[in-house]
Amino acid sequence: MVEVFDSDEFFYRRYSVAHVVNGNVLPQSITFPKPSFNRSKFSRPEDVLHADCCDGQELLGWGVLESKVSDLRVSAQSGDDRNFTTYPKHVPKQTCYAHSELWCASPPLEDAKPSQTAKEKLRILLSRALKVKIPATS
Amino acid sequence: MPAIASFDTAYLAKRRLTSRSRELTAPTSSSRKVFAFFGGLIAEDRSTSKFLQVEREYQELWTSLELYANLANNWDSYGAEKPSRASVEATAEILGRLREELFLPNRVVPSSEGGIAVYFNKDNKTGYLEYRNSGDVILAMYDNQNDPSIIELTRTDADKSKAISLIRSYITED
Repeated sequence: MVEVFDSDEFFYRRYSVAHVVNGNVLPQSITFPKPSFNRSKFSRPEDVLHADCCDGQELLGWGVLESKVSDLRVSAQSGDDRNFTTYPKHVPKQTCYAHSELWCASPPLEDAKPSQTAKEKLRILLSRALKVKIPATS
Repeated sequence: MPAIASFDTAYLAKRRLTSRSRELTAPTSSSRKVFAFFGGLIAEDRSTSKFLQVEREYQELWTSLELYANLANNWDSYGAEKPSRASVEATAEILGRLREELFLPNRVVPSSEGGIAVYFNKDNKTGYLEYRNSGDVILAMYDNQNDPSIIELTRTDADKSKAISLIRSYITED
């Protein structure tokens, strides 16, 4: 496991064609807790579509989203003024060493469950940061 | 797309708008010129009619909803639940309300959180109403810069009206 992320490192995530409208990534493409990505230190963008990183699935026509890891460190406040901040964590899988996740911290918790409102804000902020790297075709 | 699961969409099919515009039948008499004149007027009305435009868009949204109603678990390849019947029905109901108000969303999309969202976008403003399998209903409105506005709602008729009113105001205001 390599916990340090380079300042210019990217995260990649696959998507289906329904989740990008007019070039905008929809928050509906992101799920909590701990959305998955591949990190660029150990993979290329297209690797996120490889069967080894998709539990053996063939995902024809799917595309790839990307963002700088630093842009995926986003924060949102819940109604009770707790602050939730996402941060990257390398979580290698047996057939996909590049697999990583975005965890959510709320001091003093390093693995916090955001409130409904905070989670939705985080989804929106993350979707804003993501851009299409490889367009989906179907 | 991932594997498709069996799902009873008969209830959706029953709700589907089935009325079709009738094809004009060519006359066999000398009234052909008159017919062509009125046929042209009808065609023009069809192409500019706000009502018919909404009906076409509504049909497309229904087609999307029927497709997403049949998704299998793990449809997003990251472990998402398929949309529940309750979330599909809630989306069907809000689409019906939006159709009555001639204010249709741009898209219907499945959510990786489990559920379905109706998505509105105009210029740099976005709003969506997401019906979750968990029973939660989330209304979100945001642009490219400001802090998103998030409102938790219920599935009551009152909250449907509230959601439509809020999104319409947000999306259409200058």
